[in-house]
Amino acid sequence: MERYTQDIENHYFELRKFRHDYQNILTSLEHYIIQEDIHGLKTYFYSNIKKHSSDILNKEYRLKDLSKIKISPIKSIIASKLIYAQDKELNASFEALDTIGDISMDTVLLVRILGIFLDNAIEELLSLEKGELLIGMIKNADHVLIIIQNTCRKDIPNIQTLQKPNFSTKTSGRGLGLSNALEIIRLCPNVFLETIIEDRAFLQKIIIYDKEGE
Amino acid sequence: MLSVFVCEDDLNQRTHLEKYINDYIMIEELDAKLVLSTDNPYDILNYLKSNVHTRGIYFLDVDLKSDITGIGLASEIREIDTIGNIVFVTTHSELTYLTFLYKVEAMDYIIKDTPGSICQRIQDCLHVANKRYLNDRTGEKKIFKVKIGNQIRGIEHSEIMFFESGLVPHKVILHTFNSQIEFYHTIHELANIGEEFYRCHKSFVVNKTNIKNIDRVGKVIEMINGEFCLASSRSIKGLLK
Repeated sequence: MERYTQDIENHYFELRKFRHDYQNILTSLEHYIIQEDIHGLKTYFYSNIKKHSSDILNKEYRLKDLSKIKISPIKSIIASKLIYAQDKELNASFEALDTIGDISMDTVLLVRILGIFLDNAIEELLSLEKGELLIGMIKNADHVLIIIQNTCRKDIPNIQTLQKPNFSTKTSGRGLGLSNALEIIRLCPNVFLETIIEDRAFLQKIIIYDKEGE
Repeated sequence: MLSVFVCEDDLNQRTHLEKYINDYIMIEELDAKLVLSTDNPYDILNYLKSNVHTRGIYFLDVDLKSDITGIGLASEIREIDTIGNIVFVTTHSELTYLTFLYKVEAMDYIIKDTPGSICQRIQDCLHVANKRYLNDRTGEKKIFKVKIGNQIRGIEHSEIMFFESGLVPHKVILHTFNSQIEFYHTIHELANIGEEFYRCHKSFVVNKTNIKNIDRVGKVIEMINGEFCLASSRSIKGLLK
């Protein structure tokens, strides 16, 4: 819960930053308009604003599918991690084709798992200083599939080693994340995890089967 | 025979695809044939409905100017040819990589915007599909079939390290050389899928051919991928026999 609150705060902070920028842009535009300096406005618009807007739009484009997730806590955790990753100049994107309105798993548990998986993915990418993070959510006939794929180091240990309770690629006092997430998944009868290491990609697929009568 | 299908509404592009496919089949002398190339998705579905044992590879444009999209078509193909190989051929603007790969568990995703590589990618796909087809046909390699989501996946026995029972009933974790897959099964049935499999612990079934080392004192078995599984004293005796 604490982790989640923290994510919301970060998210909110991003929004405030954006509002602040937006305000500044409007003010600067107004300056040219009051002066009736069309030429200056043109130059300023094309050299400054248009450039940044493509930046924003580009970022937004890669997040736009988030609006298809109708479960706010899930949307928030993914949004905040993605924005954090993009802020760190990492190549991160989210995609979903269908609207996702309900998932047959306790939301708090799913938020915890996603938080851990995404933190690990971002940490790995930061240490590599390159690579990409792909997140996808797919609704199928009897289940929802969540995919998290990140570039990973060449000499990544085997999956069993990564999953050990005290294992961490960083030193001391860390490394409980993945083993906690794993335990949550293994206790949910309708949730199945697949982990693959292939071609320098670390891929996690979470399959959540719909519960009958829901 | 491996049946090849193309569904693309642009005649020019369709002609190119046909040429790449036919050339490769001829040069490699594959037991494969381009049986249908069309702009109408229903042609493919109708063909499959009257030829239900088709083993196919399907090159599908995503935007088909029909009432179903390439993705919809792929889902319907899957209903009939459950282990068919589906490859999407699409323009960059439609790119949502994961969706295409996993919505219907596609084999690949080829982007039209890079004409130079299309031919190579198509040939790569044909190569893999043909290999899968031959393996299945000759039964030379033993395959463990497991249902994951809406897909039936075939995993070669040689890739399997061991099976581990999960924390809840009927959940089993399959450890392969480079992956872990959780699925719905019971551990005791898994010792019977092949003679190389052995129940070494109440929670583990090991593939004997992939054992690297047996620690009799620690009662663990080390596999060739560096992972470990547990073994009971009694089963270790059985293994060492």
